[in-house]
Amino acid sequence: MTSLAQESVPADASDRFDSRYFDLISYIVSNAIAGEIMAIENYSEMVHLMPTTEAKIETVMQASEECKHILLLSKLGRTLDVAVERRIVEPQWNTIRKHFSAAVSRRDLPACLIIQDLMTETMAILLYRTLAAEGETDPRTAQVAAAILKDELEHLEIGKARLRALLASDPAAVNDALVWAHHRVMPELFTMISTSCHFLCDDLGIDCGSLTLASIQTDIEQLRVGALELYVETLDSLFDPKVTNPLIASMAAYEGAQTMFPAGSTSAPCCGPRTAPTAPAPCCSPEAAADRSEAPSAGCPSPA
Amino acid sequence: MSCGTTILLTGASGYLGGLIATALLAAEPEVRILAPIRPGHDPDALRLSLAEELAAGGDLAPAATLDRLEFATLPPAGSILELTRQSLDFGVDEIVHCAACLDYFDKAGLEAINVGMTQEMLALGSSIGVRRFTYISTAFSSGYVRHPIAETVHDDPEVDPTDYTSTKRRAERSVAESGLPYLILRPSIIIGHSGDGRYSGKRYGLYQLWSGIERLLCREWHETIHAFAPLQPANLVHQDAFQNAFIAARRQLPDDRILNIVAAEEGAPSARDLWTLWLDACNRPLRRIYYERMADIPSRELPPAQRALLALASVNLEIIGHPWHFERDGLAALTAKGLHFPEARLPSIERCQRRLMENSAAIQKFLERHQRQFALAS
Repeated sequence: MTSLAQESVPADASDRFDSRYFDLISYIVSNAIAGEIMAIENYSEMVHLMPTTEAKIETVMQASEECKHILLLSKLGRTLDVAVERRIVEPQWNTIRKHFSAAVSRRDLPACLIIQDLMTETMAILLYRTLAAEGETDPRTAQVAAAILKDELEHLEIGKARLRALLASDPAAVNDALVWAHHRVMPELFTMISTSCHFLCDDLGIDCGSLTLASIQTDIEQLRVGALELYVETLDSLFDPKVTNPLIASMAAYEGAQTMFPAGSTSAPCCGPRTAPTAPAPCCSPEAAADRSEAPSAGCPSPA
Repeated sequence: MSCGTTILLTGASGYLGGLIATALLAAEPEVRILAPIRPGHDPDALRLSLAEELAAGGDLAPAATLDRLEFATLPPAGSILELTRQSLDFGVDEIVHCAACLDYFDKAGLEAINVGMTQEMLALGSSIGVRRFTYISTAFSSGYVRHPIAETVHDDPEVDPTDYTSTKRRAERSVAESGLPYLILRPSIIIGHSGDGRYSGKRYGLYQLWSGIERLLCREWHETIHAFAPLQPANLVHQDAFQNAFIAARRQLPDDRILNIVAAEEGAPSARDLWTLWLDACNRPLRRIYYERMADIPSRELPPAQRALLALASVNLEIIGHPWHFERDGLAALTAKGLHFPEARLPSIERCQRRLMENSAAIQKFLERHQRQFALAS
């Protein structure tokens, strides 16, 4: 569990980090808070699906820890004097919430656990690991991130334990839930590994085009590779590669992934009715816009 | 044969469509092309890309050549017949339908584009009375079968690699049953030019694997590399071989024919040869462990980057690992009549690979970083 006492670290960051760094922190922390808000809602909504009183209590405690994360992140924003949004701005979070609620409606506990404890927590772990990297973020950010990371790692393990039990009793149902959740949630989570946004930068008063991960000694590609590896590792700890391999292969077609893992024979159709890419926000960087409108290759019937 | 001189070409914004456009413009001075493209594509950028390909092929005045190509806006699915007026005004007498959805996992898109749009294009062809409908399919439209893959319309196999192959097979049937004179061309895996290795497409096919290695295995040196590398011949076709075969087929094949545009098995490199070619030139691990079957790979024991690469490429690697045997009677007949079909062999594939490596900042950085180590090892 996160200790609020860990916040009391003197802020000596302003000398070492420039305004672009703080813009980036503002952007990342705001998105992290949105993820935490979604997590509170998800955990709260799934409590009644938990099979035992102990599990219900544990789930409520998980929600409570996510509340503390919001408070910690909000205070971090105040301490660093950066703008922080305490509400969900980016639409992907709401989309994931919608899928989660659908799973709750049909009492699909495996899907709920997979969405929240595996997928969302895996991405949260990547995020907080990145922010907790000593020497690459300011000490206060690194310390807050490290504290939250500990909780998120615990949440992941709790989720894995619950899913192992479910897999033991009904593997087919859990595998089906994984396939269902993967195709709905992972594209959303993956597009958020980006420094472009729909509305967030406008709301924060940040120039979206100026955001660069170089401020924290990383880049989008490295983060995406890290996310992919972590996700594969998480899935491998529970599922048969025969089930997971095609799911991972499908990630090559995700928006934003094509420049990194070009999609083999997978690509956007060269014509016709595919889901329209989300309209770019005015603040989106040219790179991001180019990513979205990536010209597909037509008629390339070349597998492999 | 009844090929036209005023062609409506779909998919010209993509790799194969672009190759077809440039091949037609270069080989047939009378040809004019109407190329509907999706809204959102930049015609100027596409024109530039086509001009580069023409120039690389020796055209000294590519801009003038491209005067014979006109872009149009592709109507949304369900409204393709809106092209009727424009097609008639342009004088379209042949349709070359190359547009496709290639996303294995987008079932709705595959259905809508590969099947639905093909049927709409056939309806358009009927309404304007084209002399021939040429459909660009895939060599793998048979699905997984053990028998030699004939140049005929396929029955359904027991298993399809993906929904992509099944939708292409259904589209082929629609073409064959449309009543229009037709030609169905089935290329396998297209790679760069046999001469200089240039490749103007996105990183599909073999390039996906190369790109995955570049991104995932070149961040750090791997002492041991595990690879799914079956000994099956990999069926690769150079882009210039594809272009030559396309032109020869439309000129020389009679109507209602199907042509497998595939490599000769004899002498074709295996997936293992391709891995060796790459690893010798780039990653240079101390140990390489090759697997003949995907099921033999201890996935969970692999380093994360190798595990991720294996998963990302798994669907395509399994397709490569299947023992495909294609009939090549059509190509043999065309070759006998003068078709130049440079086969993809290790030296020409190496040219494509080298070109990619030379243009990759990540690989150059990796090689530079490990230059001393590699020099000592060798």
